[in-house]
Amino acid sequence: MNGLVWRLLRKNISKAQVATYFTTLLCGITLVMLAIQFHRDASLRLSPDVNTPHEYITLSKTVDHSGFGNNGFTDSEIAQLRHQPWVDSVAPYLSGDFSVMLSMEIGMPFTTQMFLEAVPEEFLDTIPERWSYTPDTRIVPLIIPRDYLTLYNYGFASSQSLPKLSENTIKRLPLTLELSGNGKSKTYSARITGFSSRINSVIAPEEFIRHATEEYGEGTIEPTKLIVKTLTDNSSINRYLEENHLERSGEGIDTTLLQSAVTLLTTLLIAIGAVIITLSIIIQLLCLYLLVEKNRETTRRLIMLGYSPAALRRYYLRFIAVSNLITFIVAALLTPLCARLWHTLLPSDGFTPLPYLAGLLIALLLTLPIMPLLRRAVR
Amino acid sequence: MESITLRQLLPDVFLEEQEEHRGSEIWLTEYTFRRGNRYVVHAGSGAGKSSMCAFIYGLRTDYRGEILFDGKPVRQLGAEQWSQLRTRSLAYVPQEMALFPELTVMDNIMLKNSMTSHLTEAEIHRLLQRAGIAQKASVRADRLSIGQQQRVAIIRALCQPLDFLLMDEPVSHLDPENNRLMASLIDEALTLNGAGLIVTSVGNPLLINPVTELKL
Repeated sequence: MNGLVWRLLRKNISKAQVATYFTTLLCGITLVMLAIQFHRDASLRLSPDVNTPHEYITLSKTVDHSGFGNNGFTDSEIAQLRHQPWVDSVAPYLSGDFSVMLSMEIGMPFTTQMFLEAVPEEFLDTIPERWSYTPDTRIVPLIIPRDYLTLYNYGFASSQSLPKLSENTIKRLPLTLELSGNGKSKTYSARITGFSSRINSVIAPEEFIRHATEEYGEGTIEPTKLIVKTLTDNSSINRYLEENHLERSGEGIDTTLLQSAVTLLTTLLIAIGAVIITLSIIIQLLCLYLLVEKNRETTRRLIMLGYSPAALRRYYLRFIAVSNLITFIVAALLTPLCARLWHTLLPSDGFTPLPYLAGLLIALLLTLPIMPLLRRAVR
Repeated sequence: MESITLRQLLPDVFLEEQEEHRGSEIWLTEYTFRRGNRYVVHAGSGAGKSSMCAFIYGLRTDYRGEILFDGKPVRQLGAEQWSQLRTRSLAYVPQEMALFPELTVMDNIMLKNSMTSHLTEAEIHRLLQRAGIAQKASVRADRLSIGQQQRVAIIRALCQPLDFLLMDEPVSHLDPENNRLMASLIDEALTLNGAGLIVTSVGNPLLINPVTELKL
């Protein structure tokens, strides 16, 4: 490359045009790189943690229109579920047809009808101390969903000017359970001893529910809810639930929808990036065409001296390639800075080369459309 | 390249007035320029001198007839082949000089010499000195008189190996003394390369001998 030749060819370069091209291309490449980075970060966050490959979901049958259909699970249905490849283990929620009345005092007397359930200990996310029941047990331990406390503190208590309660305060509250049925009735002392983020029900030890069912129950009933420890494969779980008219709840969030939303957002961002890049290609071609036109006489004289058109075309090609490369470098510096916007929500998993490779590829590929223009204009 | 043949050549613009050019020793006839010989083509204004040079140098193709380099038609040559010819065997001084006004005298010459690496910078300086324009080496070309620009264009053309040197009224703005100075530089280069010379003139011919005089 001859410095004198480039001095002659570059004199007609318009700084404003180059700045417009640079800015447009920078926006396009950065957007595409950010979209890829976002997709990766979000996918990592949404995909199951490889260190804890299990999740727990609660299944129940979809309620029919009448509201009176049989929503219980038969033994064969439970056995069928147990054989699904995505099921690690399954257990029914244990409950009885006795009635439960809960009383307590939070500034004022409070009584409510409710129900109790039990699940095997292996399905609990928290097992409080003394989590058992024998006929000698004076106080029945209970686990309530952590969401109940949140709902009380930030919903009910705030609106009714009642004091907010910490977990420790709640644990100290004396509760009274009145169980009745089968012609019998008895009052038990109880305490909330734990909070669950996994199970959305009031849980008592299995032994207590069995004891209560024997005492106050009038017969056996089919379980209406099952707790399932799953292996991670959301797509086949969803397919099974849909085919068998089952509903899910619990800590296992349906990430399929979120994943689809992330993919849609990423596609949208890449599409906008692609439109901007296309725009930058048009600007690039127009700028280059104008430059070549302004350099027509210079080009003629250089060819007269013996410079080959191909050699002159290489100067323009190198100029565009270097511009694109600089644009890519700036975009590569901007991408991690912009990605910080979502890193408080979606922690980055460290460096990934994919967005940078994509950006570099775009920058290099953008030199291709100028070849035919140069072949036509510089000859 | 040993010969340049013009066969039945006529610029397209003369097609309507062919009869007026029947007496020409170049147009509508066959003439071969031989390497090692020197030719002065005399013509009045508008007779097509610059056109003939541009046709031979491959800058224009708006002509009828044929131009042959060593018997091969030049219309078949591609851009790369022309580029090689213009740096290795065919040099040209156009009437308008085609210097780059924003570059200095030295840069204008180096623009050619950097392609061919034919002369050293010291040799170029000596040529500028002999042409009487050494003090202008670092002056922009657009600050020179036409005569000085003609001398720069001639030196630039000599910065390559030569089979033929094609010159279109190269000394039209030079006085006899400077004409003789440039003629001696050209003579040395032609002798050194064993090259041929085709030079046009409207009345102020390059003072070089011996020459074959032709009428366009």
